[in-house]
Amino acid sequence: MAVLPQTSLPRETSRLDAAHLARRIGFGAMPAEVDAMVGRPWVDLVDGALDTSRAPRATLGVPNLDPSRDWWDRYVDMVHFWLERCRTSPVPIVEKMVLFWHGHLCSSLEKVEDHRAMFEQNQLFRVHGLGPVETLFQTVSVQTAMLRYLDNDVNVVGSPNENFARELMELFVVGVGHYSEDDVRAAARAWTGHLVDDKTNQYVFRADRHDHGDKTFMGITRNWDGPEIISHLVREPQAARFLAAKIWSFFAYPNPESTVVDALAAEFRASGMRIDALLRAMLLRPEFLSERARRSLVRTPIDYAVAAMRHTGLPCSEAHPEWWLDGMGQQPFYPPNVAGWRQNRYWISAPAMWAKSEYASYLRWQRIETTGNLADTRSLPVDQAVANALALFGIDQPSDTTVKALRQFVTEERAGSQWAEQAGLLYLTPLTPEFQLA
Amino acid sequence: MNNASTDQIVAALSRPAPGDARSLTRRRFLQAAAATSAIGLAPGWLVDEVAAATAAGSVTDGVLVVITMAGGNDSLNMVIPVTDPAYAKRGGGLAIAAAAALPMDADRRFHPALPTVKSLWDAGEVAVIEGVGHPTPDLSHFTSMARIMQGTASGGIPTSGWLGRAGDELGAGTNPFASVTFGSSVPLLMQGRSSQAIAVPARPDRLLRPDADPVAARQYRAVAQMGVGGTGLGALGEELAVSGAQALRIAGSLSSAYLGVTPEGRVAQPLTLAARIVNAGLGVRVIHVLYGDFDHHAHQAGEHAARLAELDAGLAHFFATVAPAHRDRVMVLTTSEFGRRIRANNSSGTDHGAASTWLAIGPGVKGGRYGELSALSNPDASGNLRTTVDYRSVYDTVLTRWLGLDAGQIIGRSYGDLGFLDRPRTPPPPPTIDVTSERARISRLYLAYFGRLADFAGLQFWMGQRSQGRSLAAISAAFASSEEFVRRYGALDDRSFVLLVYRNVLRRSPDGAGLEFWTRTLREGTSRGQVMIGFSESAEFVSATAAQLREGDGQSPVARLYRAYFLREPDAEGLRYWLDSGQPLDRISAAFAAAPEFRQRYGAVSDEAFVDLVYGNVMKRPPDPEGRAYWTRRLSTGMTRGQLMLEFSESQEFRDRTAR
Repeated sequence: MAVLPQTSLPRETSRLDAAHLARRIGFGAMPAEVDAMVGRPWVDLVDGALDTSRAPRATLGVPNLDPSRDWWDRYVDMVHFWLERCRTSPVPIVEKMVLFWHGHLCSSLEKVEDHRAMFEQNQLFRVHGLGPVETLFQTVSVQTAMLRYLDNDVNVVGSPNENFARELMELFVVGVGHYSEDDVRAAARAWTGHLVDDKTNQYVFRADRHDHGDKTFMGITRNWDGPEIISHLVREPQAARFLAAKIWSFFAYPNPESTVVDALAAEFRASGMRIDALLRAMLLRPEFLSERARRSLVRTPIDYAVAAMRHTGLPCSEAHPEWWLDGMGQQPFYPPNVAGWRQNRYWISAPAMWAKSEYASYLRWQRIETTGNLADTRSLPVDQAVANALALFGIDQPSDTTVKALRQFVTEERAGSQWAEQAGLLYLTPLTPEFQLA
Repeated sequence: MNNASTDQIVAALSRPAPGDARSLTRRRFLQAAAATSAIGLAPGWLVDEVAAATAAGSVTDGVLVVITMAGGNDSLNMVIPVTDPAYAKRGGGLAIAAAAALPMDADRRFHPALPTVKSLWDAGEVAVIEGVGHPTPDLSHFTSMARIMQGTASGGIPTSGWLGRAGDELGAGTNPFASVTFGSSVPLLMQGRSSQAIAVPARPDRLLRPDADPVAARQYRAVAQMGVGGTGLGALGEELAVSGAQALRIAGSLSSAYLGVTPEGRVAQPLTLAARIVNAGLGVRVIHVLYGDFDHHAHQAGEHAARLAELDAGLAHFFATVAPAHRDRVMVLTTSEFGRRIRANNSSGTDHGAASTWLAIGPGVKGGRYGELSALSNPDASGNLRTTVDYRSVYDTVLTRWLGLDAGQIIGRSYGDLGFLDRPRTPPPPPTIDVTSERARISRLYLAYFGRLADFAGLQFWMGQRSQGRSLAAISAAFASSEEFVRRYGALDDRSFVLLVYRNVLRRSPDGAGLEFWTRTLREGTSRGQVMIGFSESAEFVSATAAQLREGDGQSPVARLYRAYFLREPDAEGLRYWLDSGQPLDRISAAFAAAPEFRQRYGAVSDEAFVDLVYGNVMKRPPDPEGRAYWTRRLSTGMTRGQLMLEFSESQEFRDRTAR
């Protein structure tokens, strides 16, 4: 069992560290939440963040996905169900992991063509996203969404389809270079007969379509069945390393050092490949609090959209993030391909900025509408008006450049129209680089 | 059976565009700014090299517009095989009567909704490529769309598209406008390995307007301010900080193209904007327009006709909007992930097919039919048309022949040239002038009448007269009544007149028959003006004066504008275009000022720096303080840069410097 260098972790967590933790494991650090974290031991905060007993039941407020309803209406309901939980869950790490798995164990509504199947997968990520990784992988593989997305639903004896078998190894569990083409062929044969029943649209195992012959997978020859392939793969040491590196890259920074990966993989395996144990080990690494970790992630559009809603206090029904997420580059339930979304620079572009600008603009008018009027900040000193706006969006340490830009705006606005000061600050603050960083 | 919509498929194959942001990291942004100010301070003689290094590509670079007819276009009803007996038996009310379709050739007719395509076909500018598809067709939208967008030999996980990879080679990494796609995200087609297309709005009202009302302007200024000065937030923070300014700048560059109304229509709007973006001289090379949905499983006839009519109108708007100077540079390629089933289904629609017909359209296209339409009575096992042309050979042809790229590098290997771009794209630059042009005719009248080349204003005047319908004879008559002509020839009898004209015009003595012929012609009532045309348009004179006319073109004010604006000799074709246009000099100068070659060089600099640069580049000397102050003041009080350039190019100093 690896020894954690816990002595270097804060006994009394600073405001900066607390905000960093809240942003990474959730969707934005609300000032009151950060206040409640400051001064407590870091380990306690981590354990609290991973305590899923406080998470709302997965079945609470599920959307009506009856196929007789309009395609788009069903889609919006699914998006709102998920993003509302992101916005309001007291245990946001659960939803953050849903986002991670959605970009790792990809399926797309485009190909699956079935809202219920995609929602079933989303729920799976919610219920099993922090537990033993094998449970998650075994279950996702025999759900309609994945069976259809990677063509296992047409994988039958005599005509094997390698799509799922290949991606399982290349993208889901061990990565390129840790399997051979023969392994792909054997795994594809092992998965034959795991189909979708046309009548129920549910998983069905058809023994008559399954290849019962011997297959040689990873050097072992016997009558492999699909799920056994997963059981074997997740026990490969490489699986722990592969997943640890990917999860670290998602939460801390890309391309982690091998020492970090090795340490996390060891903890991961020691736990029996539980995701929550991996997350705990990750959050207790001093590297997680390093300067590098603080600066190396751009918020994904879904994270950005939810954070903007949290800080403006607007629910999905008023903010309509689904109108802009595609423009920002991350449409929920539509990953671009089986490799999922990339990260960081991938999110920085002029069109994405245009979409963020429109979203921020819409949110500020919605907020001004819900709060009744334009809160008048003109009586405040310029610096105070700017500081209030930054605090509202959870920006504790703005750069001088950002402060200067906002200050200049307020000064000009007071000399100009005078009515748009608050509206302008509400629009500008979410467009600062500080807010766009994770 | 539930069918995914085109939007959903393309969304799945789309992502945002990091290319432009990557190319404008803060460091490079600052470098660019520093370079700009350095030019402003550099002595004039240093500037040519710097400016040349930043100049855009030549305007002869081909532009490719790809239209994805998404959902699977029923190309059998787009280009109709009227002589295939099985066509009329499609069922579902789909077969279009030959009489109703638009004539194309002996075996094919166009859908009635395609009059523009038909007229472009008649002009020899449409290649109809039949039987385009994958060697082993896949009836899934997703797979087929991914294939035609990916465009590689090897397949694999689609992470980039053939046109995006072309964009890599065409400079999309450094010029965000090299590769442009319409919509809110970048489809797989337009994703490269190292860069991506920029996604621009398909409607004019969707563009961020940095110059909106004063309140918005203050907010946008603050967004831009966030990128001025370091943030201390690390590399990603710096990129995010400048991305706002960059987004505003790109929106600003596009704003002229997005001004004013566009025609309505889902394809007419983006195609009109595409033409304007070509005209704007931003260096665009590849453009993508997604258009659908063509997935007509039911009630196809009316729906499909409506889609095709919109497409046809879009093409009409596109070619009408592209400026003449750019028209030869553009070609349009229509694609579709597959065609449709030959026989109708039970819902008066068609199910997913295999091979389909693609169109390549433009002045550089060698019109005709390519590929092969398999007989409708001999379908594949699914009842679909057979693939006779690998879609990648279409890509190979346009990549190699239109974009000048190494197709093997982009699509993995060579698939051969289909030959539809065999028409020489730019006619070989002729060293001679077009001796049959109206300008040449009038110029020769000047030479014949007065023994000298026409002055620019005079020539423009008479060309204007000519274009308003005045005949060459009437112009000649006006010349014949001129004081200069009357003084020279007025007192002479017909025979002496002919003798003198031979000497002055053809510079030789008349042969006996010639003298006799012209004298008799005059005696029988033909005017001296008519006779002068006989001389000026004689093969002998046309050939004798060609060199002189060419020389004259080289000494024209338009040629001087080329030297002043672009620091080079005019290309023959361009010079001829502008001289033949009959436009006044100030208009030509304004057009030059809008040219990419000029805007790339001077677009970003202040008026004062511009004056310094022009002195350096045009006069080859630093400005004297009075000159600099004078021209800077003029620019600040309403003079355009085009007007300034004209003044410089027509100045005696410049004429003397460039006189040969």
